[in-house]
Amino acid sequence: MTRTRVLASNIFRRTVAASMGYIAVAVGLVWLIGFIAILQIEGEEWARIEAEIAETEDAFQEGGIEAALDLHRIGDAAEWDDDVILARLEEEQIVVAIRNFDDDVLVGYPGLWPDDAAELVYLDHPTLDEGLRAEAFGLGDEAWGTIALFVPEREYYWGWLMPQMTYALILVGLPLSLIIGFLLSRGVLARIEAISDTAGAVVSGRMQSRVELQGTGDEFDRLSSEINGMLDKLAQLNRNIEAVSVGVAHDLKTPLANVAGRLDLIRRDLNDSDAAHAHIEKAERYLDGLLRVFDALLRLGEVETGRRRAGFGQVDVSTLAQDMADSFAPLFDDAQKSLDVRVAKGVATTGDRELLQQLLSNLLENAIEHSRDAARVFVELEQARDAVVLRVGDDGPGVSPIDRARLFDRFHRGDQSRNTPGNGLGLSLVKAIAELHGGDVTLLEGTTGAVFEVKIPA
Amino acid sequence: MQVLVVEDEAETREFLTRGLSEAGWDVTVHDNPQPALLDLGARRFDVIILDRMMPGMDGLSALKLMRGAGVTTPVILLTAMSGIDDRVEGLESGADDYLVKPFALSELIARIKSIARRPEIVEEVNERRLGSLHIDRLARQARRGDVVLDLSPIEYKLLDVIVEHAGEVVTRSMLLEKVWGYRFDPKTSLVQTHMSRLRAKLDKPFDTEMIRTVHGSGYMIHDPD
Repeated sequence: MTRTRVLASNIFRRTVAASMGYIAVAVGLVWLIGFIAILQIEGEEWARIEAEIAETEDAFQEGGIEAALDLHRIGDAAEWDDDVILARLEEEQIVVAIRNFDDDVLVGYPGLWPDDAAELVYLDHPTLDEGLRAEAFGLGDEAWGTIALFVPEREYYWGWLMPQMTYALILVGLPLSLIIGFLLSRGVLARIEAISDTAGAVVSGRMQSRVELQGTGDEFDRLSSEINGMLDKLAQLNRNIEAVSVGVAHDLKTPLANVAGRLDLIRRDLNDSDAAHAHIEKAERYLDGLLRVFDALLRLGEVETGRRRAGFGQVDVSTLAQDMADSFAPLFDDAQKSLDVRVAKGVATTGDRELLQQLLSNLLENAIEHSRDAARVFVELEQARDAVVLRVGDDGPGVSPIDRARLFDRFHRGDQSRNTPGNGLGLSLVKAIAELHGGDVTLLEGTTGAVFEVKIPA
Repeated sequence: MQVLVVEDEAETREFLTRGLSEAGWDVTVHDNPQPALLDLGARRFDVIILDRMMPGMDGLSALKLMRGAGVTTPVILLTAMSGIDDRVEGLESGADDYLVKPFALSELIARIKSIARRPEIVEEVNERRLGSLHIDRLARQARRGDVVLDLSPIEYKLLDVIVEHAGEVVTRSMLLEKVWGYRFDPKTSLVQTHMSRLRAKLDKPFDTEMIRTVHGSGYMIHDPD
C-alpha cells in the first residue's frame, strides 16, 4: 500500500493555508494598529500646535504685537539661530517664525516657512532634516506666523516600522508555518496510517488485526476503538454465519441422506406396492422437515431485515393470546400437560399480528416439547408501565447454564443428539420477532422452571 | 374444467400438467404470459395458475393486464417468496389465491376446486345443511339429527368451514388460514388435534362417519346417508 507523503497530505496543505491566513491577518492588524496610532499622534500634534497658536493670539489680544513676540523671544535676539533649533528638537520640539508682511522675521527661526500643500515642512537648516507639521496664523494686520512641531514618529511608523514588521512576519511566519504544518501533519498522519494499515490488513485477510490505541482517549483513540468494535462485530457476525452454515449443512444432510435411502428402497420394493408407498411417505416426511428449516430460515431473514415493520398496525394482544391459548389447550391435554392461562384484558401494542401469533405459537410449542412429563405450563400476559409483558413458563427443572447462554442461537438445541423434535430455530425466531417490535425476550433467572419473558413497548 | 397454466420452469410445468390432467381436467400450458394472453382472448378458462416470477413479463404484470382487459377468471398465483408483502401485493393485483412453492399437488387441487366453485358474490347464509347435520349460524350451534353437538368455538368454526366446502378436500393449511387466521404453519399438530376432538363429537356417537381424512392432503366432509 502506498503511504501518503507528508507534503502531499491534506492536513499539511490545510495547516499551511491556515498559517498563511494568520500571517495575512497579522500584517493587516499591524498596519491597522499603526494607522490608528498615527491618527492618535496626529491629533495630539494638532492639539499642541493649536494650543501654541491660541497662546500667541491671546497674548496679541491682550498686550499687542510685542506681547506676542515676547512669548517666543529667546535671549535678546529676535532671530533664533541654528543651535536653538537643535535644543528645541531635544526639548520643546516647537519651532516658531513670526514675520511682518514684508517677510522680515520679527521673532523665531528664519528657516521655517509654511507650506500649504505638504503635510510636512522641512527647515532651512544646515544639519537637520527632520520633518515638521506646520500651521500658519495671522496677528491682526501687523504680522503673521508659523508654528511647527517636529514629527519624527510618523516617518518612523510609515516609512520604516511597518514594512519591517511586514517583512519580519513573512520571513519568520512562513517557514514557521511550514515547519509546524509538517510536524502537525506527520503526527496526524501517523495515527491515520495506523488505522489505514489495520483496515488494509483486515482486507488482506488478517481478520484479527486491530488498531493500537494510544491510551489518551483523544479523537483518534475514539475512532480507533469504534473501528475495533466494528471489526469485532463483523468477526462475530462472521462466526454466526459460519455456525449457521454448519448448522444448515448438518440439518440438511441427514434428511437428504434419508430421502436418498428411501429412494433406494423404493427401487428395491418396486414390486411391493405397499412397501413402496410406505417408503414414499417416509421420504415425504423427511422432505417436509427440510422445507420447514428453509421456511424458518427465510422467515428469520425476512424478520431480521425489518421489512415487515412497514406493515405494523394496532394489535389486540389480549385477544390474540387468549385465542391462541384456547387453540393450544387441547394439545397440552393430549400431551398430558396442563396450560394455565392468565391473560389481562385490553393489552394492545403496535406490531405485526401474524408475527406476534408466530412468536406465541413458538413459545407454546417449545413448552409442549421441552417441558417435563405432566408439566404445568402457564401463559401470562400483562400490561406493565410502558410495555406489554408476555411470559410462558413451566415447572420443570429449568435450563442448564450451558444451554442458557446459547438458547437463542440458531440451530442450538438443548439435546445435542438432535433426537428431540424441532430445528433449533424456534427461539431464534421469537427473539428476532421481539427485537423487530423494539422489545426483547429473556429467560428469567431465579425462577422454578424455564420462564420466557417477552417485553414489547406498548 | 379448463385450466390454464403459465409457468416458466420446466419441472414444475411437467408436474402441474400431469397432476392436473390426472385430476380429470383439461390443461393448457404455456411457458410465458404472451401466448397465454392470446389464448385468453380466444376461449374461456375456469381457472388460471400463474407463476409470479417469469423472465420477460412477470406474473403480476400479466395478471394486471388480464384484469385490465376484463378477464374475471379466478387466478392462483404461484411464488417462491413467502413474505406477507408479496402476498398482499399479489392479492391486490387481482389474484384470488396465493400458493408458495414448493406445494403439494393435493393442496393446489383443493384450492382450485375451492376457487372455481366460488360464486361471484358470496352470500352470508344463516344456516348450512348436510344430510342430517344442521348448522345454525346465528346461534352458532350445530345439530346432528336431534342431538345438539357441544362444540368449542374452534370446533364449531372448523365444522362450519368444512361444511361450506362439503364434498371437497380442505387442506390443513386452508384450515389454518380460514379457522385460525394463521399464515404460518405451526409444527405441532394443531389442526389434527382439534379435528380429532370434533370427530369425537360429530362422528363417534353415531353409526356413520361424516368427516373423512384424505390421506396426505386434508379432510373432507360428506353426507354418509
